[in-house]
Amino acid sequence: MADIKELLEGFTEVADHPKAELDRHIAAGKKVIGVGPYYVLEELVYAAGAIPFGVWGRVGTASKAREYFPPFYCSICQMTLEMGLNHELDKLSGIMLTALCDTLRGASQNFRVGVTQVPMIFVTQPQNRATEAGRQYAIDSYTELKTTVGEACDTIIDDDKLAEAIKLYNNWRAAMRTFLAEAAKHPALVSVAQRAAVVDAGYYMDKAEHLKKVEALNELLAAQPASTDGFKKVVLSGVYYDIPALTQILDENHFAVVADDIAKESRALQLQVSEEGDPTVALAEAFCKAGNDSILFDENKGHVAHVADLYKESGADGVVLLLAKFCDPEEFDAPHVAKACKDAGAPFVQIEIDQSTESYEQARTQLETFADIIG
Amino acid sequence: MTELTPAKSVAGKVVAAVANNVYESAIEAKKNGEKIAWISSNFPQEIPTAFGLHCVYPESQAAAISAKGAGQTMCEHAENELGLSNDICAYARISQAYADLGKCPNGEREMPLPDLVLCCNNICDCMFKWYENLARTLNIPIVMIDVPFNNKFDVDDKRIKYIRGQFDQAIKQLEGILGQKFDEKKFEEVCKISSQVGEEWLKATKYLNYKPAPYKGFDLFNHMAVATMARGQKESLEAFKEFNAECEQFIKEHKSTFKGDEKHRIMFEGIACWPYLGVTYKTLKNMGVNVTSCVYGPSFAFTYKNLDEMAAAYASMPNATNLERATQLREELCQEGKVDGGLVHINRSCKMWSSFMPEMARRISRDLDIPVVMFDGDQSDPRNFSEEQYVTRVQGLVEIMDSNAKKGE
Ligand code: SF4
Repeated sequence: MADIKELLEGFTEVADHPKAELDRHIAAGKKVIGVGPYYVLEELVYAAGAIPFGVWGRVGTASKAREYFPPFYCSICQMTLEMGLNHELDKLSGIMLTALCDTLRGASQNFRVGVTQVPMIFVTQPQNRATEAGRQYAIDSYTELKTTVGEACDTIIDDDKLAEAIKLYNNWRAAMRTFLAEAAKHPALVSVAQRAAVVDAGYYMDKAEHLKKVEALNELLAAQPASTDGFKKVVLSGVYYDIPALTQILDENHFAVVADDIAKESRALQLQVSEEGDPTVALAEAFCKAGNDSILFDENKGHVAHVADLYKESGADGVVLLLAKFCDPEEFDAPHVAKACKDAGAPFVQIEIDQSTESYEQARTQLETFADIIG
Repeated sequence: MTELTPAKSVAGKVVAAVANNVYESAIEAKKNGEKIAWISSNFPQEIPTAFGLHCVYPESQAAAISAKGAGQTMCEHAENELGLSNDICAYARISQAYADLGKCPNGEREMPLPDLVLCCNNICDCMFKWYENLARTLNIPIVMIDVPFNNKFDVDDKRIKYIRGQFDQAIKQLEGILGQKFDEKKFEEVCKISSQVGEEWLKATKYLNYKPAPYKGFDLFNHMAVATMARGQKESLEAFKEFNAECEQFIKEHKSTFKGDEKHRIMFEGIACWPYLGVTYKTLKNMGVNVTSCVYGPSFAFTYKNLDEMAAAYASMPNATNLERATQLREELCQEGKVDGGLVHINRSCKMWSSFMPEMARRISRDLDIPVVMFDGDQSDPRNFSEEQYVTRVQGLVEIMDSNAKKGE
């Protein structure tokens, strides 16, 4: 059996080379569908016998995308478009994009007309999710998507397959939640960079294969004594943090992520889909139940209190808000999150991040100072 | 070309007075202990109007505040005191600053603080984040109508059903908040007036299609406030009728509020740069350029008789529609307005509107074979506009239009 180190190296290899993983799927005769942020019902793709492949931009600078987007847009959308325009996504049989924020709305249009070689599959979701009208809209939308995704994968998605996919995804999400909890307890064994790599690999690998490896890793981690000695325990909040320059700073300063409110991690992994009844309805209802996220309308702004709660429950020493540059939903919530954290007595720091940032020196200084404060 | 005599609009003042009255009567109502709602410009205002609820419009207020020069002060308050990023919409920053301060620096455009907020995201998703924040900081209820962005050209049934369902929900919520029953009869009356106001407003915008036009297109930026804020009111109907009668008189008498020769006619796309309204207008005017096409006409001209039709109308707002439909709408307006070119505002504040603007501009230019030029600016934050760049871009546009005109002679 592989040991912790070997397993983590395997995940890192995939996370660092998504293109190689994509090529492997294609070589295995699989169709691959790109999946953008947020809450995309990947289960449909899996049920169609294809591989869902996460596309959340990448580290780099937008150049061709600037023909479409003015400069003041988040890098996830700019870089996703850039990848499409650079033909990095040509092997995909389609890409599923949502429109939950203004930038995603524009991204869907720019991608559809700019990257014609990769058909854009539009995923529409309701914001008024607590109402019957919202639930029905999600069901109607997901029912249409079942056909569209099936078409893109040259098949018809049947309910048995979809139910199987839901089961697999539920198990996978549960295993991932366990992994995040184990990683939190073992920062000496799982660095911040490795934590991000395990998550990222999940966006690229076949979920069944990823699940097996994550379960193996969880077992090995659980057998080790928990210890955060010598680490500064923080809650990470934001959309993403899988930028090598950033995770390096976090690791060098001995930060341990003891809980997260990251869109690419725990926010996405909160979904739990019912395994009873009509699977499409179950998927729609699971989305409607999601919460505590800046991108989802919430009259009580549960997201704000949630970050402070994570601080209190996890025994963290502080909260690091990684604010994605030009991200409206996050920028509107940020001052409220900061206040809630301060009210909870949490040391708090806000760092601006972007996939296109060339230097993280300012972030380094901020994080070093923060480490001193909480250390 | 027909020689025009410069004219001053009297009816324009009547329209402005209606807008002013919306604020004044809301201030009065607040004093009398009545409830006030802050409402987003494209919320189905017929519903609160039928409840007799006084509504004021933060977007219009922010526009007025910035046109009067206090945009930067308010934005800076939002950034420095409230911790909001300067990346977010300047209207949203100004409005949250106002909610915090309860007044403008020099009384630029006061309005009462709300007892509830009414939000609809058919123009952008930034709206619901902004209103969530208002509701949270002021600790008041929020009513939200979600209009999902449509990737297809036509509005489909599931959208209409969803929006319709939310109308019922909003009505129920309002009944609870206001402790009052929804009056269907009153609602129908309001819808009727709203539709009539919409028609008169659309008619007003269409007079720009006359060549030469009886008024300067920039006037629409001001009159729009009434189409936004007082769609359900009889006074607006009267004011627009008066304005339209004046337009007809001007056309017959060869008069216009656009001073000078209308050498070129253009489309202006995007929200006005309120802090630089004078400069942006004069630069165009001095080069003989009038704006005769702008999307504000259809944006506020809704017609419907009932909640079902209203759901379909609100689902088709320009910013909720796909690139092709958005482009087609502009191209039709350009053709009707007989434009020789287009000037596109890449508005730092409006992520939604600017997000596919470069592609839309390319398409309009290609399809209509006209030059379309973009400039960088902001609807309210004066720090994001460069007069030099604006003038250079307009000069560039005029040069191409001049040379095209010569070729056509
Ligand atoms: S939520 Fe923020 S980071 Fe995500 S796509 Fe929208 S603007 Fe970009």
